This record gives sequence, structure tokens and C-alpha cells, in this order.
Amino acid sequence: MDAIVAARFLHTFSPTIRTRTRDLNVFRMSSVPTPAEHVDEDNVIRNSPGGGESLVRSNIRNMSIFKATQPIEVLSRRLGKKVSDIVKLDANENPYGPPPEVAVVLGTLQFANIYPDPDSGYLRAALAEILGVGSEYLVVGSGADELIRLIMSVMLDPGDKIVDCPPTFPRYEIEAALVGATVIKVPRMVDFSLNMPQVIEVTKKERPKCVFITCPNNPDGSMISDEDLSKLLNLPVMVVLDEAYIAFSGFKSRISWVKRYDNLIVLQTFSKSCGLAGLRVGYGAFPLSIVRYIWCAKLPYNVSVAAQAAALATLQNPIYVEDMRRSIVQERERMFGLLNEIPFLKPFPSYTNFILCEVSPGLEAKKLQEELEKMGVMIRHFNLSDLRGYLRITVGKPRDTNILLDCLRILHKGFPQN
Amino acid sequence: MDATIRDAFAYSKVPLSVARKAYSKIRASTEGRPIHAEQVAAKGDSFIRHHLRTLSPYQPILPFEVLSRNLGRKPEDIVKLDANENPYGPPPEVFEALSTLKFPYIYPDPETRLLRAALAQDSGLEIEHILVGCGADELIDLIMRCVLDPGDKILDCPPTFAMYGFDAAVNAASVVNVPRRSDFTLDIPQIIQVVKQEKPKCIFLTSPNNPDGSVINDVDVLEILKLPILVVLDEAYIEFSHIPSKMDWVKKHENLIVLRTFSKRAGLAGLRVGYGAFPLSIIQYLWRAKQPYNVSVAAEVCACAALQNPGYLENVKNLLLQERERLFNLLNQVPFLKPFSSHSNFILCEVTSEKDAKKLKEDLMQMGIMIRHYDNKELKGFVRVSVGKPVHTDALMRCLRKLY
Repeated sequence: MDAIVAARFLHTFSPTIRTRTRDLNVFRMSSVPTPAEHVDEDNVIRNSPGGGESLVRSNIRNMSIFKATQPIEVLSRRLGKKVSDIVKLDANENPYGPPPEVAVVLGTLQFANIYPDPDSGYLRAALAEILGVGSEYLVVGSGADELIRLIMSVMLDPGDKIVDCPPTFPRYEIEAALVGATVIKVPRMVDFSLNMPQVIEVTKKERPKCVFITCPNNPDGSMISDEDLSKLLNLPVMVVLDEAYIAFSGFKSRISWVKRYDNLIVLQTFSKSCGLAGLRVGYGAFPLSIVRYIWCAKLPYNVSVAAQAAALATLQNPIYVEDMRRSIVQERERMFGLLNEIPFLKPFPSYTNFILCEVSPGLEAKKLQEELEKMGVMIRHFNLSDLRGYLRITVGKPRDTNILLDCLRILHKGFPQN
Repeated sequence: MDATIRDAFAYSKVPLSVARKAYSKIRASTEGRPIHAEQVAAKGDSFIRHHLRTLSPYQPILPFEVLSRNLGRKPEDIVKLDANENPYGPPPEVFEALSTLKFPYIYPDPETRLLRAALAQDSGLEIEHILVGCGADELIDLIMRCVLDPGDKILDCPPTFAMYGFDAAVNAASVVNVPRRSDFTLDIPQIIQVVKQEKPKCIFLTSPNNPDGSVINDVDVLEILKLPILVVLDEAYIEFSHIPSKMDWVKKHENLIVLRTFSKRAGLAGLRVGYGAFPLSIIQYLWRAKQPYNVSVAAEVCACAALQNPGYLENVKNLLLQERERLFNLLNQVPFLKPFSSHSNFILCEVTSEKDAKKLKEDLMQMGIMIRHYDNKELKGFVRVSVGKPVHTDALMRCLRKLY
């Protein structure tokens, strides 16, 4: 890489960009997502005068558009690369995909023309056997995303409050905006642990209805301790524990805690450890006093026959799923070691299938991401108020790691040497 | 399946007036103090919004396979005429596409680009007016979330599809009913008056209407579009009627949304794919409120595959239309049934003389025939029979004959 290309990496703005400029003593409130990294400013459609928008609720009119991932076919067209040449490490997907049984059941679906089972009965029964909670605690959703929306629409009136602990999964904040709820942000500490005193104080003072905790947390991969979780559960607030990545942690899920706590909901998904992100299957365990309302409000045919069949088929091959999980955890450790050797990256230890890296001062995370993208390697960068100058890299197959590292080394060679 | 769940959510059973009253009372009394610490340990439902606590509890229903087992029959031996499903199923390309899904482990396209492009071609409406949902059900819910603040009203014209009333209840909106006339046509003067008086935010119109199969004529739709109200026209069954879809009307009318689905004509009810045509001034907000990964990769490839075989879809439609006429004539000969002529893939029948609609449904179920019955305020003593294959009609008629 020549000096001109390298110069693009030298960030030219504020020198404080590298440090996580978060005021840990102050929590902030907002009822709409702030224009943040996940908002593509170019795609935000401005209001045009007149027309049908007068029919739309004001909180919806104030929402920003969520910038989701791009489909791989679109990427391949845009980058002029074959789909198979793209290393997709930007969305915490599982590159191994589901066990072969899934293709078989999908190709031989018997009742594509019949509405799906509204109860996802077989799937819940199969999950109950594995999870150690009765199927009466379980609800299946079209991804855990749907359950997050459902939880909020069942619990939050406009003006109600939730506690969010950024940096974390952005969906909680977006869904809160949709129902017209207020988000109280209690930023995580510099090591990404929860600011427990602040969460407790805010909960007592502001009376939020729910607190959303991702464990392990996205994007850094840290866990919440039993002790902290118990403290949260003793507060007068509904704790929604999102365990999307729990399978990679080596820790036991807290899903069975819902039997003891009337204010705990635990969410899990088939998207990550089971390789079914495309099929949309998530599930949640709810206290019995809550679950009946979730059933009342759920759209009857939310989980497709394909999704139910694919999830069931995946559960029937636990050895495949376990092998996959082990490969990913092993590769995570290898990738961590390799990233640690890259002079301009500081990786954080992770309990998930991704690794967060702090980018050295003077380099711009966004530029790094863009350069890697040109080479066909997709990763995620963060330029949020809570997380500025960071990259998140999904753990792929060993080959993916090797390509990523080759590209990072090429980029490094192009940097001006001090 | 459809039958039972719709019964559970039927507007007659959702105590909307109670919910409405409870809601406004609660609003007044709980300003800023939603919960109290001491309640938490005891009751999780203190977290639940008050209007939802008055909804009827969910009644778990038996999946098709379990039901068939209970009846001592194989699922494929059940004549399922209760949920307006398409007995021919999707074209073979769908299964081909499903078994060769390349990226089940990658998140779906949030913009459903491939399917929307195919739909634009299929409908002649530009892609930027089209949005895809996890069934039209999801779009109905999404529209309400975008349009209705708690306490707002919708206008419903029962008897009709029960999801509008259900979704309104979940979204803390109230439902103003303007019942259809005895011939199931809309009561336009009443609708005009209620819109002026009650100022509902939107009106839901199903055409052809479920459960009777009548279509709304253009004059009436235009009359309603003149009102200061969002008109949601649900065309789930439009392919079975003689009238063209009004999708392209959304370009002329800023207050019109048209919904359609792959569940009926394309035989993909199980896959969950619906779509809507929206004015540009409204669709921008649905994009903001829509969950990014709402349409699964399976749903998108199936819908695209189905559209690639228009000959199959047309053929299946013609078979169903032909069978609808035959079924109508045969039902007309049953002494205790009075069928209504239908523009859809189902036929509503009034159960006459001293026969009980519910009993009729149950008797047929014991014989392995599933139909839907109605027993609510607007529709008491009716059954609805989906149009199946000729062999299904024959089986139904054989069983009906045993009952007289």
C-alpha cells in the first residue's frame, strides 16, 4: 500500500476519538434513538410536506432508519467479488450453518400450504427437554427480535421507561422508541462491566419497567455475574436477559432462573450457535405470570413451518451443534492470539463468537473497515458516543481468520512507521 | 387451526369496551408510577399493561398433526376446509429452492430486494411502493403500531377478518364497529357518519370479504377514500375474484394501503409471506418500524420461486374457481344449508332449520372433515367451507348426506 492510501487511515479529527468518551456518572434519557452508528444518515428519509405522513404517530415520525447488514448477494455485486470469495465476519453469523438434516426437512416440507402451529408445540417440547424448564414457560418467536418487540408491547405504555446499558445490542433502544417509551441509559464501565450502583440508583429513582441486559454482551463479549444478576432481580424491575450468545460462553444459561424469579425473562436464539439466522427462530423463557400475556398478544402464525421444522431438525443433531460450537470457541482463542499480535489492535477477551478490538490512536476504525471491505473481508466498526474507534470481528472458520489476518498485515505494512 | 384461533380472538370475545374503560381509568391513576417494589416479588403480571389484562386468555390449540392423531387419521387423510388454505400447495420450484438454500445461517435481506423486484414485475407497481411482511398479519400489526396511539380508534366492518380487532386490542386502540348489511355489503352512510363522529384513524376493508366472499365495488371504495381516514384494503383473496387488484391506486390515494399475501393463491400459508402497497409518504415510516429481519430467507426464496411459475399458479386458481362453482351448487342442494355466492376460495353457508352450526362442524370433524363455524353477534348459525380439490368436495358431500 502506498503512502496516500495509508494516509487515509490517519484520522484527522479530534485526538480524543480513541478513548471511550463516556461520562460514567451521568445517565442520559432519550425517547428516540440518537443518530448513532447504526443510523445511515444518507438513508434517513426526510419528511416531505403534506401527504399520508400526517396519519403516522409522532414517535414513529421521529425514528431513524436502522442500518442493518447487507445481504451477501448485494455485497458480492457491490464489491465485484464472488459470493464464495467474501469473508463475512460482520454479523456474528455461524459460518458452519445448520446440520445437513435441515436441508432434508426443508426440501420435503409436507405442509407448506397449511398455516403453522401457533403454539410451536413440538419445538417447545423439544426445547423443554434440553433447557430444564417446562414448555409452559416457553414461547417461540420469529427470531428473538420478535420477542423483544412483544415484551415491550405487553409491558410498556407510551412514556414508560426502560434501562439500557450501552454499548450493547441496539434493538432495545429502537423498539422502545417504537412504543413511545423513554430509554434511560446507564453506560457500561470502561471494562464493559455494568455500572451496578448507577443501575440500582436509576431503577429506584426513575421507576423503569424493564432493564435489558445482553449476556454475553454484544459487542464486547462480557458476562454478568450471578451476584450482579441477583442484585438486579431484587429490584422492582423486569429483567430481560438476552442470552443470544450464551452457548459460546462455557457458562450455564440462567434460563431455569425464570422458575424462581417472577421478574426475569431469558431470551435465546437459533441464529448463532445453531446456524439458523436466516430462518428466524428465537425463544424465550417467561415467568408463568407473564407468559400468558405474551400468548395473548403474539401474532398467531409468527413462526413459519420452515422455521419450526429447521429448528427441530437442528435439535436432533446435538453432536453436530456441539462440534460446531467447539470449533468456533477454539477458533476464537486462536484469533484472539493473532489479533493481539497486530500492533494497531487491542482485542478484548470474549465469551462469544466475536471479538471486539480497540483501534490504536491515529487510526480510524471506519477506514479500516472500509479497506478490509475492499479486500472482501466484512467486519463491523463502531463510531457511537459509547464506543468510538472500535471494530467487532465475528469468529469464522480458520480459513476466514487467515484471510483476515493476511489483510490486516497488508494494511499494517502500508502504515507510516514511527 | 385457523378456526379455533380465530374463535379465540373473535371480536365478540375480546371485551373491547371493558379494555377501553379500564385503559382510560388506569391512565388517570398511574401517571409515572407504573409499579411498586412490594408487588414485584409476588406478581409478575404487575408489569403487564392494563389494557392487556382484560384480554381473553389465549386458548392453546391443537396442531394439525395432533388433531389428526386424536381423530385417528393420518394428516393427509383429513379434509381440511377450515382455514382457506390452498390444497394444491406451491409449485415444485418451491421445494427445489428450499432444499438448496445456500445461506440458512446468514441473516435475511432486510429490504427483501429480490422478492420486491419480482413483485414489482408481477404487479406493475414500482418497487418503492412495496414492503414485504411475515404474512400480511405482520403488516396489519405494523400499520397499527405506526398509526395508532393508545386510545385511538379503528373502524371495523364485521363480520370480517378477526385480526383487525385483535391487533387493535393489543395496541390499546378501540374498535368502532359498523356492521355490514344482511347481504354483507358495506353500510356506507353509516361509515361516513361514524368517521365524522368518532374520528377513527383507520378503516379496515377486506375485499373479497372473509367470511362471506363479497367484493367491495369501486364506487364504495372511492367514497371511503374521500374521508379523512387511512383505508387499509386487505386483498388476501383478490386472485379468486374477477376484479383486478387496486395496488396501483396507492399512487393516486395518499390514504390507501393495499395488502396481499402468498398464503392463498400461492399455497404458502406455512411460510409466512405477505406484502403491501403503500403511498410513499407512509411507507418510509413502515421501513423505520419494521424489524430488520422480518422475512426469513426461506420465505423469500419460496415466494420468488412461486412467482417463477405463473402458469402453475394460474392453473391452480382456475381449478379452485371451477371447484367453487361445483361446491356451491352441491351445497345449495343440502336442505339445511343456504350458501352465499363467493368471489373467494371459500363459501359461507347459513345453517337453516333447526340444525346447529357448531354441532354440524363437530359432526363433520368426527368424520375427518374440518370446516369453520360462526357463533358471534354478527354471524350466528353460519359455517364457512374452504374450496378444496374435487375429492375434498366429494368427501364433504358424502358426510353431509349422512346428516339428513
